[in-house]
Amino acid sequence: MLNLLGGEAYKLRKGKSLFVGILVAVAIVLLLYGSLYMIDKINQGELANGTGGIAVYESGGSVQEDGKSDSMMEQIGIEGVLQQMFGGHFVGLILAVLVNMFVIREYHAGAIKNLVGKGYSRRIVFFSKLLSSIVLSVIFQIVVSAVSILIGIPFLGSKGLSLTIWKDVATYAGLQLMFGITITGFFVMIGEFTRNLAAGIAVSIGILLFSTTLTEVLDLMCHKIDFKPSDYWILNLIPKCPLTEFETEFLVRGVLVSVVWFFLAVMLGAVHFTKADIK
Amino acid sequence: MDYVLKTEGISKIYGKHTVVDHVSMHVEKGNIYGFIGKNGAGKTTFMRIVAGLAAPAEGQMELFGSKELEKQRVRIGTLIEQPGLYETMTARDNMEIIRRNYGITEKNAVDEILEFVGLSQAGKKKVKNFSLGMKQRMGIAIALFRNPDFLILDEPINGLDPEGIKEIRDLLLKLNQEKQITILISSHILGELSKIATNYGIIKDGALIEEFPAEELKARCRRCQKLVVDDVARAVAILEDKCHITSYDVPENNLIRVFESLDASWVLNRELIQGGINLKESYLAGQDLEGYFMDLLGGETHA
Repeated sequence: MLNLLGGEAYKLRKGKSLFVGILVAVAIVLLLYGSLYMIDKINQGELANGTGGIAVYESGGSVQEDGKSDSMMEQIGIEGVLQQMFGGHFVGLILAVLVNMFVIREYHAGAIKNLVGKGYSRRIVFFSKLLSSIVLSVIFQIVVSAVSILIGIPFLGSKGLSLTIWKDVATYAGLQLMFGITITGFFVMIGEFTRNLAAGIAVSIGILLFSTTLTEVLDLMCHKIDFKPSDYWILNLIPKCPLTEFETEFLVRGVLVSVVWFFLAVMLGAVHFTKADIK
Repeated sequence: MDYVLKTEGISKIYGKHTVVDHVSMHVEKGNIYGFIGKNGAGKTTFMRIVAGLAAPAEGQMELFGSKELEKQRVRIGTLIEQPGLYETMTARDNMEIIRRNYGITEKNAVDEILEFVGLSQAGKKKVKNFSLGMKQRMGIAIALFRNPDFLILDEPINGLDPEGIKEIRDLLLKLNQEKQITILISSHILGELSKIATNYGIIKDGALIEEFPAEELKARCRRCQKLVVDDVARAVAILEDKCHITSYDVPENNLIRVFESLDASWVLNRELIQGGINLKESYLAGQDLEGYFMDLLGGETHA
């Protein structure tokens, strides 16, 4: 197992996909902060409305009664950008591509043949791939969180930073990291089942974007029995994760849902990998 | 017998199609076993089953006399279909990944194996820029990396130029003779295969129809005079007594193959007729290996 992880680490280091994924995430974060910065400048009249394709239809009013600033940048803050990155599925989408590439390229060029039947059980081969995918996912998510915070510092300035509740930022990032690991397990399973890059990415993104709508339809169907299936679907928890005031019920449900879906996905992926032929 | 590979009734079924049909193969230690069959005959699928890439629907298999296949497969090097390479990485990086995966601690092992297969100059070149022949060499390098006792090579000389084919042939012979590595090899270049194979297995429509040593193949392809007669026993007596023939066989009822005095075949005909034998047919026969396999497999040969 350690040998295989050594090989996976080498592949991660030599492959460019993680670095490209991080660059894309950094670009999105910059775009988010840049958009907020321009909105503020448009609101302050320093830029004409519509500059750079950004049109502001509602300024957000003046200084509010509770003392909060009317600056969009300060209202949204680091937490808001983090929420946009994770809850808006930017991270999920990039992870879908990265993890599928990482898993499926083994099949694409037939490199998996160099591992299977070479003294390692298929279970070990699968778990080494899963573990290295999780490492890739964790590195990516940590970098995205760090970049969202670091890029936010110069944009927000001292006033904006003073409004940031760092404990909440850490809790939110931690919860999203946990959810991210679970969806990584899903993507590994999808990659294992499809073994085709285009199909793997398409299925992963399809689930990421459309499954939440389906669970909400299920909610409607189940409303008479007072049961909301969407509360127990991992991809609903990601956007619904609060930024502050984390309720114990959500935390417990979040952990349980993450663990259950993770093990379910991993189990299915592992069973398929141990049973299916390798071409 | 000391078998490296022994299978009994191995089958593989995809849907309603039986791809490998009760194959019982016997590869003895030290053999170079030429595995021959048309495209789609089931060679690659069978090799994948042996390598652990596909599970058989039924049948038994032993590797190195053991049924603990997972454990024994460490001793096998494989090149099945195209080599498994990361195209965007260099040859060296590819081999480095393999070195780490296999837990080989000697760091210079990568350079050594690249040199061994003649790719030391191409170590820094990305695999996507390799020719087919270079990729095949990489595949052979991967197969040889752990000093296997048994090599499974599916069309290993595909895409190689004549010089490359000779190099691979010499390499396989060297591995077999000097390191006693047993080799199971398929190739559609039957002439090449016949230069190295010590044994053959013929697969047709998923079934292994024949297994025989190279000597027997040579005998079957030997030039001979074929005599179709009504009374084989009496004809043989005449051939021995009157024509002093000692080199012959009787492969079928009424058929005698005579392997000597081919320049004086008419003498045998005359003696047999004078001896009262009803000589139905008499002709000179003999073919090359390719022709033999074509006859056996029916039509155009593809391995």
